[in-house]
Formats: sequence, C-alpha cells, structure tokens
Amino acid sequence: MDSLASLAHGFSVALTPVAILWCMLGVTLGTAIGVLPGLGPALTIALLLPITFQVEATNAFILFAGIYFGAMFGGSTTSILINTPGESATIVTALEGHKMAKKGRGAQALATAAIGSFVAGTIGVIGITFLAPVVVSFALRFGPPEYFALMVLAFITVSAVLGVSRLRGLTSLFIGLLIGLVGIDLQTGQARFTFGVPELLDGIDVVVICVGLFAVGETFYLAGRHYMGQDEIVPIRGSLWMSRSDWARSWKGWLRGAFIGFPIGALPAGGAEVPTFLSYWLEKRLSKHPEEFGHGAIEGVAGPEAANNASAAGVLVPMLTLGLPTSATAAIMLSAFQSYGINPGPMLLSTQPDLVWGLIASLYIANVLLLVLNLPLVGLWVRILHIPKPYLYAGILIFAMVGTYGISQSVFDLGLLLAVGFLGLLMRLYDFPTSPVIIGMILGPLAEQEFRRAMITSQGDVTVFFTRPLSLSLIVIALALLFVPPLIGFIRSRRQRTNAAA
Amino acid sequence: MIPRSQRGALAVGLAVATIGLAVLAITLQVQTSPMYSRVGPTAFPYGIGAVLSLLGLLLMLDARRGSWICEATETNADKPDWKAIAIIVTGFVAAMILVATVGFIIAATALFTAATIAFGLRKPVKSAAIGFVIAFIAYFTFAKLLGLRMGTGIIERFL
Repeated sequence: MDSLASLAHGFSVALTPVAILWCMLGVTLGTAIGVLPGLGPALTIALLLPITFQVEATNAFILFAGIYFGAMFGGSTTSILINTPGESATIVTALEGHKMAKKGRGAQALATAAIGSFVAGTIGVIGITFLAPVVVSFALRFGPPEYFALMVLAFITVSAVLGVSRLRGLTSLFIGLLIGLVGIDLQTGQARFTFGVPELLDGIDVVVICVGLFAVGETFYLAGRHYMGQDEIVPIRGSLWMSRSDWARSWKGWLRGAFIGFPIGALPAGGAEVPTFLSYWLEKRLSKHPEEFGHGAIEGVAGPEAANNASAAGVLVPMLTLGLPTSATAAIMLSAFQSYGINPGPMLLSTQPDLVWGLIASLYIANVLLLVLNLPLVGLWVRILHIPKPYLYAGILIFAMVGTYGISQSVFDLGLLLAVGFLGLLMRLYDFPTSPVIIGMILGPLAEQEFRRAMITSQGDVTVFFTRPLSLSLIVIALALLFVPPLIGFIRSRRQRTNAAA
Repeated sequence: MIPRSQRGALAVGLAVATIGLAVLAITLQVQTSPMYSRVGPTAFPYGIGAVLSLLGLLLMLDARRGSWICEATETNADKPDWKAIAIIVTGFVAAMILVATVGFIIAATALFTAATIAFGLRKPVKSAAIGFVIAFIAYFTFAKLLGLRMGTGIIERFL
C-alpha cells in the first residue's frame, strides 16, 4: 500500500490549480505539434527545454508529461485523418483508422483511440506505481558492471532489433555515441573532439541535435519535396458517438493492448513499434470480424492505440528507476533532469518524491484532459493542418532558432544546428533511424562512466563483466539479439540454396 | 560499373568509414597521463572509431549489393530539389550573421522569409511581415516572459 500512498501524494502535487494549468498547456502544445506530420513529443520537449532555466522542476515535468501524451494523441489524429503516420508507432493506427475515416467513421476512430489511450494510460500509471518500487529494490543491488551491461542491452535493442536495417540503426547509434563524446571528459579533464573550439568544451547540447534532426531536417526534406500540403484531410462527419457495437468491439482491445504495451515498454528494450504491431496481430486473430481488417476495423485502432500509450507509460519505468532512456523522448526527459542537476536512478524515488510521483500523476491527468478537452476539440486541431505549409515550416524554423539560440546565445550553435539539419536530411533520404542518435548521445556518456567505474573497482580487469551472473546474462542477451537473427537468415538462405541445387 | 542509384549510398558508407578512421586518427594524437593508461579518456573513442569504420565498410557492401532500399536509392523516386534546400541554407547563414549584429527578430524574419521562398511562395513582402510578427511574439514570449537571454538588437532594445 506504500506505492498507493506515494501515488496519492503525487496526485496532491499534480492536482493543484497551477499544476493543472501546466498540464493543460502541455497537452495543448503537445497536441498542436503532434498533429504536424513528422513532428513528435521528443522535438516539442526539446524546444521547451530552455524553460528549465526558469520554471521549477516539478512544474516543468508536469508540462513535459502533458506534452508527451498530447503529442501522441496528436499523432494518432494525423494518422487517422490524413494517413501520414508521424512515427513508426502510429503506422498501425493509420492502417485501420484512415480506412475508418474514409468510410465516415473518423470520429469513432478518434474516440476509440482517445478512450483506449485513457484506459491504457490508467493501467500504465497503476503499472508504474507498482512496478517502479520493485525495479528500484532490484536496482539497488546493481553495481557499475550491471549498469553497463544493461546499457549495452538497451543500445542493441533500440538500434539493431527495431527498425528496418540493423546496420543503419547501429550506425545511427554510434554517430550518437560519437556526438556524446564531444567536450571535456569529466573524469580526467581531457578535451575530446573539440578542435580548439571553446563552444564545444561543454559538449554539444541535445537540443541542437534533436531540433536539428527532427525540425530542421524535416523542413529541408519537405522543402526539397515541394511539399505544399495538398494532403487530403478526411472531414469528420456523421455521429460523433461510438455505437454500442463500437464499444463492445473496442474494450477488449483496449485492455489487451494495454497489457501488451506496458510490459514491453517497461523492458530496458523499450520501443512502441513491437507492442503496437503485436496488438494489431492479436486483435486480427481474435476478432469476430477478421474480414473487416484492412477495411477499417475498429479493433485495429483500439488495440494498437492502447498498446502505444501503455508502452509510452512503461518507458518511464526504466527511465525513472534506472536512468535508462529507451526512446528519444525519454532521452530528452533525462537530459531535462540533468539540467536540474538531478540524476535519475534508483535513489530518485526516495530523494525526489514530489517530482517523480507528481510526474506520474500528471500523466494520468493528461489523459483525462485529452479525453474531456482535446477529443471534442479535434476539429480545431485539424485546422492546424490547414495552415499553409510554407508558413508552418518557416515558423517551425523560427522556434528551432529560439530553442538553440535561447540556451547559448551562440552563433556557433546555430551553425551546428544547420549542419545537424543537413545530417537529418541525409538520414531521412537514406533511411537511417534518428532516435538511436539521441539515445546514444545521452546514454553514451553514462555508459562510459559506468564502464570506467567498473574498471576502476576491478583494477582494469575486463572479465568483471563476464564473471558476475547478472551482467553476464545481460551481455549474452545483447549479443544474441545482435548476432542470432542475421545468423538464422544466413543459414536459411544457405539451406534454400542447397535445396535449390538438389 | 556501379548503378547510378547506388552511388549515393556508397558515398554515405564511405563517409561513415572515413569518420570512423578520423576518430581513430584524432584519438591517437591525444596524450594521456599514464595514470589512466588502462581505461582513460581514449578507450571509448577508440572503440567508437573502430566500430564506425567497420559499419561504414559494411554499409558500402550493402550499397554494392543493392540491398539498401530507401528513397535515395529508388530510381523512380523524384530527386529532392536541392535549389529549394540551398535557399533555406542561405536564409540560415543570413540569420547567423544578422542575429549577432541587428538582433534576433530581424534574423528570424530573414530565415522565415527564405524558408517560405524555398517552399515555393513568391510573396516575400507578405512572408516577411508574417515572419516578423511570429519572430516578435517568439522573442517576447521567451525573452521577456520566460526570461531567456536572447541577446539584444535594434528592435529588441525598445522592448
């Protein structure tokens, strides 16, 4: 019951009028930016990171929680109404949701997404409440070797397991790790990769990388495509309410999606792609109307949307309890913690209870606000998509400039932003995933620190990672994830070749 | 002869490998105190440089094999309009020069106007007016209300 008391305390933090206002601001901003194709929660939070200089930590994180869930709601709206999924996790939503919208059932698709997110969010918050203390009690026994092994596992899963190409995923990750190296080495004072540029001594700010890759890179890409925004936005018409059969067909999907999404999100592997696809597959298998799949089956929206939201809540478990971000958004949140001088980890729950439980409670409040405020206002959000694209993306560049120049007043950083934007364009054209860059640059320095700590305690003996059972098993899992799938592919193609020969 | 569509991908792989080798070369120059000889500040850079070189090599193999399927290697896909992208880059460079001399608002207005032109809008005066309003609001919100230091300039001085 200890956890429930903590959660109740969280609600007492998050239910003050000021906190609710911050949450409402976050949900609104998050939705507004989330509906824009290609822009999501990581970018929105990065653009607002400068406020951490001015706003007290609890309120800032309540704002971020609002943005996090708001942007996801916005992303689903776009997938359903214009079929341009902003992130891979909403691809599945677009599959059935857009078909529903075309049949004039867009309102029902949005409703089942929003209510499903609410149900999943509720389960997710309860999940965090009970799981976080368990993970903490476990993590307190971790030494540097275990942390390092855990980070290696997270690196492999975010870059090589999810996504189209493990090679390109790993390249993105290592580019991120390289960016994370820039600056003064904290343990020895050695400057690394600074090329004598004083601005680089403090390292490269994650805001520059995130805004460059996501906002500037996206703008370059769209300008190069002459994207003028002739997307066809399917208007919402007909009844706004879900019928009895809609409810009957949705609720199981919500629950199943949530129970798939939360545990997978909470694994140090993270990622929302696997649970959403898994949930879609499961709903298709279990549906009484499998023939409707591909033509706008409501279960195909309900399940994956719930899975997406529950996994987003789950991702916060390793982030808050282990300091292990497994998504770009979680990585940005981690750097927000760092800019307050707070290091997430097992001690966070006991040293910063207001902050952590306030954040968790406001996730819940964000879900309620989305349901009662944003769902009815969906017409307003869609109108954002009617802003002429040139003004929209030119405006985003202004905010990219604010986010970068506002933290450093450095012209050098603006040049860096331009260069990273160009990198983002190339990554987009050659299909490199961008999240591993962000995760690599944030988690890389932490992994290096743990590695060197482990080496100091073991007096330089590398076998320390392989003699402790937990760290050994984590490393074995990581290596297996990295090497087994291509090996299977190789053997299979060999066998096919010999079969063909015979 | 490598097919045209794969040349770009090959170049990307080569670039990654080159970065990896450059990281190794730069790290070799670092003088470390023998106290940290085992896992000093160079251990991770060596590792990252080595892996990046290897990844670059594998990417080049991928490109040669033609198994790198993406927008840039798709022969039927439209090529991006580099002129439009160059216009935004010009706007960016202009903004970098202007922000330190005449202030954020004018710099941001220039960037905004350049971007609208890049997107194919041919009404620079209207764009500049809209950009000015957005830049003004952005400066006011972040610099005045949130207290971010965003420098001064010929308009900012009067705020």
